[in-house]
Amino acid sequence: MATVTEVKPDDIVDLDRPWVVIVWNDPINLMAYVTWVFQKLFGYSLEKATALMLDVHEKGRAVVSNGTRERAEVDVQRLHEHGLWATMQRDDA
Amino acid sequence: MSFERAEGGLQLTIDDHSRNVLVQLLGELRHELVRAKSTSENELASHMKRLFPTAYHNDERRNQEYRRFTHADLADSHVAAIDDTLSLLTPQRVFNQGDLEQFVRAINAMRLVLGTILDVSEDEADDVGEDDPTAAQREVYDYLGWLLHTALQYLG
Repeated sequence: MATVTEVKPDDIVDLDRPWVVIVWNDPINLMAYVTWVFQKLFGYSLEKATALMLDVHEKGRAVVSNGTRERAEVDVQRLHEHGLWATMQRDDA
Repeated sequence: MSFERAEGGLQLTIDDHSRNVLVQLLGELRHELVRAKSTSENELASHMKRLFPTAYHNDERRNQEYRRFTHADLADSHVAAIDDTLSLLTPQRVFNQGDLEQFVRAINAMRLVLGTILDVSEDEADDVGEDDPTAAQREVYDYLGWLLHTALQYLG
């Protein structure tokens, strides 16, 4: 018997719009630790990882990766495994 | 505490008191993580929620789905880092790169939980008086920060 999957409007609009992964500032994680995590998980250079870390620290948040919803969920989970406060949302740019 | 280059990686030199404190704290956190693995979001202790953040902004339906698929794995991942670190705290143990990464993750998780308990903010003064009831915990928190910073220097 076929199953009927409920499709909500949010699931079908803007399929081409990627998801972004955002890391938020928190007062506990060390800046050097955040930089290291960005380098380790995303392969970013020290310069790029440091710039993103400074965005997190000074602006309160930074977009650290983007892609499909599935890809973003993987990135968020890996960031959570490393203790970073990360969320994902559709790219509103 | 210090790291020294050794054949096959790094060797940790740490005094018995510091080692015992770390082993005790890691053991306590491990116990809480095992319990958290089978605990719903609403029943998690507030200081443990920091290790299980939500993934979606303002989307509880998707957050529930995300938690359902990742909560246990996330707990297991933290526990694995702690177990590896506990084994690394034995004397004369040489750390390779992977060992050091697990060590850093475990120390950071412990510091996150302790910092949450202490309600650490970026605005507060670093030093508290000796008669502050949290002075001992803050000393441990600072020690963990120093330990983490030291270990990170070898992960460049």
